[in-house]
Amino acid sequence: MSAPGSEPQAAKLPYLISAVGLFLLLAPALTLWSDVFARSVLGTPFPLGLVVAVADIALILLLSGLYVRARNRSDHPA
Amino acid sequence: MSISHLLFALTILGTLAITWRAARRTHGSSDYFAAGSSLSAGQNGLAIAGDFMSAATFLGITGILYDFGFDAFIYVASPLAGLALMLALFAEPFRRLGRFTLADVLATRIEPQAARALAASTTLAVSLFYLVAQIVGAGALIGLLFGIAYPIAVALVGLLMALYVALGGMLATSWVQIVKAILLTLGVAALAFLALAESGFSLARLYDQAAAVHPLGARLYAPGGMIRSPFEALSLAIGLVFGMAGLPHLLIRFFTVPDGVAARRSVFIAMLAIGFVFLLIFLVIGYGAVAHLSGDPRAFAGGRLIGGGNMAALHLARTLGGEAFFGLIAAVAFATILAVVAGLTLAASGAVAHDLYDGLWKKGMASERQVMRASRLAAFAVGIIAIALGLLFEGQNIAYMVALAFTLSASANFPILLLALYWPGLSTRGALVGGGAGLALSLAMVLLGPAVMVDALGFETAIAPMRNPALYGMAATFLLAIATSRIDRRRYKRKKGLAAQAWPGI
Repeated sequence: MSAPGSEPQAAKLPYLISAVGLFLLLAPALTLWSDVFARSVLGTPFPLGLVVAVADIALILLLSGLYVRARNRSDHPA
Repeated sequence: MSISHLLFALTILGTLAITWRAARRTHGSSDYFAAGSSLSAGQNGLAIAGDFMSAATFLGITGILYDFGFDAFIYVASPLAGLALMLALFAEPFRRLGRFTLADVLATRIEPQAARALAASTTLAVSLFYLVAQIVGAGALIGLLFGIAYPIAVALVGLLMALYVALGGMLATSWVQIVKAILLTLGVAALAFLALAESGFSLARLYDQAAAVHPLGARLYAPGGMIRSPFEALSLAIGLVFGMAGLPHLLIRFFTVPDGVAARRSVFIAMLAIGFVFLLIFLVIGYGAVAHLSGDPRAFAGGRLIGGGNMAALHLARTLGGEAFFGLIAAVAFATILAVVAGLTLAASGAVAHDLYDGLWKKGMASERQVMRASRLAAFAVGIIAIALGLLFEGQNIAYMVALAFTLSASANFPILLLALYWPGLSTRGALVGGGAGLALSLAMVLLGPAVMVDALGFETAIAPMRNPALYGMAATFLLAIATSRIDRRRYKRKKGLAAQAWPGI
């Protein structure tokens, strides 16, 4: 892995996405307890956890897709 | 002959036909261990999905949802986060540095003999525990689904998995996994469609119906049904995420594609397939089982679901689609088992033949033919060991064996692979001390923990309190590997008097 500092701005995207992706590692545990927060603080009867869960998975897939696209482009620039 | 038995026989014949065809196309060790690096990203992506999605994930997650509700989400999201990690850290370097096993990658950074010994030990430990868990589950499941006695079911699965690997190698295993992934995706989609149709295609109505009949009521959609504290949730998530990223039988799949671009694409395709299946299970099938099974007396005996929560998905198939659909989903579950055990056997036999036999015993001088013969023999040996352990562990709780496999992977495999690839300071002794201690410590913590001592052996309390000790095992491995490597670096500098020179890292 080369250092990101000397590369053009576009080539930094994979590293940015990697950094954001690391936060997702905690997402499963955080998601479980975000529902507790939603219920106790917001008092909503709606199963908010299900919405957060779907959003969490969608975010993991979206960021992974962006990462693959950016890294593959930087490996094989058009 | 019932429809279930017919589909069961068709599944066996179909997978054996794939193996026979693959065997004719397998000519050398590259074909045998890595499918000649000829799979496309799409094919490898589906094979990764097929390799990971075991009967335990399909039936187990539905079972947790049926019994405890929302907490199953941690088992849904964590593997996807683990695959994201594998994608970012390991996919491309593995394809670039490795040929057949994890040891090939490690050997580029530390002394090759040590790399082979360490990687073979962790690969065998993780794969065997995972394999035994699958075999025990398979024996019980096949007995229940097809009326076959447990020892015969275990022997049948053990024999079939050894045949796939010994005859067809990676190519046969990959195609069995691809076909299984497609069947499972279609089967789960059909089951979700039927469950939604039963509720008038309204998720809100399905959730209302489920909450009305479940003891947890509306708390079915809130956390806390199974996992009692945020710390326990975090520790479990860490074990699942990092354990997933270090699973040997998934990592060796990167050797089957032509380049790093295809390796990355294949992980993403696997994530899409797994995400699709898991979301359908999480949003529709699990809660659908709660909502629709309560009105079907065929699913219950003495007020309890027959076979427990793990059978909820199969009961739902019978309730909504009748005997034919039940037979279809049961056959899919059986194909699921076969594909996963074949992948695990391939990883274990490859480690024995390539790392232990050729790398350590023959010092890399074994011929291609000898290595392939050793791998075929190892596949049958692994099959026999798995059958014996499967019979020994009959009736045991398989959850702790799966937890042990993930804990070992997160504690011993992931940290050493990460340090080897991204930290130039790792020494051979650091890798051996960290990896060896991590493996031993995590093994001890699981065996002395509540899952084994209390749940399986019946003691009142456990010596090690953590149910999911991956957090401690992983931290210990990182700490010991880094500390030992730093001590080695100081010693090297002092011995050579070359403080200004770069540390060679071995």
